[in-house]
Amino acid sequence: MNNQSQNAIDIVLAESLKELAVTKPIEKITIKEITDKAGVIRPTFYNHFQDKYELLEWITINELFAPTEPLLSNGMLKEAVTFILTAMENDKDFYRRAAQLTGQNSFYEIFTSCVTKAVLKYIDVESLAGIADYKWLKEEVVADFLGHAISWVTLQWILKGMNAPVEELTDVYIKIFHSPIIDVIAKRS
Amino acid sequence: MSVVENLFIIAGILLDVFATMEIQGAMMAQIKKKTMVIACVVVAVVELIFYFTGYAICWLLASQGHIVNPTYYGEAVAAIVLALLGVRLMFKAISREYILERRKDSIKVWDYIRFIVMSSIYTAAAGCACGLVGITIWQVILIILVVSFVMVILGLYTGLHYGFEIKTIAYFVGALLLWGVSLEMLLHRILEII
Repeated sequence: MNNQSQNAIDIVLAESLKELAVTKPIEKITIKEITDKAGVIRPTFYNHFQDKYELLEWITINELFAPTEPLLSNGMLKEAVTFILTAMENDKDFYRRAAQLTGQNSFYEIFTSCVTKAVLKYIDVESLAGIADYKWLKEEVVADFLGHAISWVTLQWILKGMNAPVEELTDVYIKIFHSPIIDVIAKRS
Repeated sequence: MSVVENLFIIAGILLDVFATMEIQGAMMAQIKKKTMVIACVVVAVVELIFYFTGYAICWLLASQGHIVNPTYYGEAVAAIVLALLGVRLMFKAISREYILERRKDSIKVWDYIRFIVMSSIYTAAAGCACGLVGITIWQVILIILVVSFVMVILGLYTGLHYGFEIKTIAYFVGALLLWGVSLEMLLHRILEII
């Protein structure tokens, strides 16, 4: 199987999961249902993904984060965040179901991992980690902190029905990045 | 016991094995022949050991005169054990346990041996009842071998192609088979109504 056809099957499996997730919770969707809707035989699924959670991870990476790589590598953080949030808003029903997943394979875990990787790659966490001379305060710790904070806010936004407009949420993210909380508190006092 | 009764009893009990193997098959991208042969042999050997352990214990007790009227008690015990086995399978069908479908590159004997041994305890109970009633040994050996192989192969391939959802039907069919034999023994042999 060449890469192109392999990718085409990944896409149909992803579309199938997304369509099924609109009608029932992701944890109740079986591999058979995914492959039946995708029009492939059941063993094909395992040739591409280990389980449905790996497929969910594939969707998160390929539909939300991979397209933002050119934007982030050119310093267009606002555009990248807008893209991710808009893509989620366009597939509102699917991401609402995904956000309801809990535990080790949750969407929160997957999303946090993606955000943390992006933060490590495109944001200057080295200088953030340098704010204090503590041995334990490494770049990974800062990236992990930011990853969890951003993911938590995003998850709450999804779970509450994505009522806040994408532009406003993006604005909040950018302002948090540019103005550390401590500066805001200092200004108020 | 007749050949048909033995066949129904073994098939009913081994439908539990079918469900176990179906779950294993549902986790695989492909089934290797070696894996399938090992599973067939392991299941058949475990079932034979448990069946004939139960059989030998009860047969010895009966032959040494510890049990008065072994045939009558054997039939009564068999009817009760089979009915309880049916209840167990029906309970498993209704409970619909959650199973995470996740690919395994190969299945190891340890992955299923625990479940096979658990269901074989009931095979031993059936063997015990048969030890009191009396059976044709070579017939039962042949039935256990054939049914074990069929259930393992069918279970693995059903799981591979259709997932583990069919296990519920297997449990229902197993329960109905066991209840059918149990009822037949009760009405025909114990109460002698039919």
